[in-house]
Amino acid sequence: MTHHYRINGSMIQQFSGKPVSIIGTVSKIHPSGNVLDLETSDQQHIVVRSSDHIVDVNPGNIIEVLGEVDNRNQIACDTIVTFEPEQTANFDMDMYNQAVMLFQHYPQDYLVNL
Amino acid sequence: MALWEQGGGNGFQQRKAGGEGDPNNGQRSAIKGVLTCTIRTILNAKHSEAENCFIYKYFKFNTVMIMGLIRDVNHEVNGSLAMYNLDDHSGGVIEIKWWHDDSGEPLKPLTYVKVVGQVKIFSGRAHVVAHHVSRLQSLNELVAHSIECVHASMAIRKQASTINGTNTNRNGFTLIQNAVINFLKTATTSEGFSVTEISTQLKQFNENQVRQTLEFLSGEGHIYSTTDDDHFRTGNNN
Repeated sequence: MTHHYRINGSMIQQFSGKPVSIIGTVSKIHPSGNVLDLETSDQQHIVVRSSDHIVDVNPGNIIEVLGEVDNRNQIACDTIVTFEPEQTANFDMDMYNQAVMLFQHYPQDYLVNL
Repeated sequence: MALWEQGGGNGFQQRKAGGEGDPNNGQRSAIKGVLTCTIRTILNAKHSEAENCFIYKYFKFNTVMIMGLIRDVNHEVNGSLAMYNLDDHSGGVIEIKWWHDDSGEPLKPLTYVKVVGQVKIFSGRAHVVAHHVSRLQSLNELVAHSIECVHASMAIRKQASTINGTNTNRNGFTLIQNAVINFLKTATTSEGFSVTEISTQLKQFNENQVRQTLEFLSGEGHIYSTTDDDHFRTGNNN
């Protein structure tokens, strides 16, 4: 179990090959049922490939994706975390985006075991 | 005094192992307060017997507030003890033990929860005995928690480096050593300054700290005593 970096869309390339956590809005689910398109907190779109069939997820839902950035700048994901509607009703996506960028400025405190 | 010397020579008195008989044990104040941190911090920490707390870098704690995803759930048959494996993506999973009443529905895997509890170590592994476990009411709490962890680290790190004066400067001297040397450099007489004068000038340190520093610096040859053991100055250059 390694540290998953919280990132947004523009950071994907920078974290190629690394374990990441991304919170975003589902824009669509592919007919195959294993792939979804996620809109990130900085309004970019990334492809998320799940190892399992994606369940309990609908377009418009806010989810957290845990996985690794592959060499195509897509996420090979092993866990999708879903939330109750009440939990994401007032979610401040912009604050989350700012936080994600803030963490990169303070590596010593963000990753305490550096 | 050895055990057999107590009790006036009529054999020895039983001395309680620690507890009330020991004037030192229990008097050491445990670190109070709740540390908002990541699971990785707890797993990296080592337990200090001397300070009766867990220590990792500049963090000293017993009670923590963490937020993470439940990965595994283990409910005991009688329903009052729940054990969860919590993962906050900081690298590592920690076990949470929660004694609770039967109220409320059981928490399921892949649910985010907030946990406040005491860190305990057993068989070399740290776990948390929780007195509070609750589901996140809003995802905003998760973001806020991550920010708080970074902030706590920053605040404690800065506090640790200024109070102890152990922050090292570029030339290898600590804060207090540098302060003493810089002040002594301003001396215009061959007598230099007395310990009292130095102490008065450097208000942020107490006299004891100043004396210890002077002892160290003169031992290393950076400063030397002049008219008596209480007066010091630096050499003629730098």
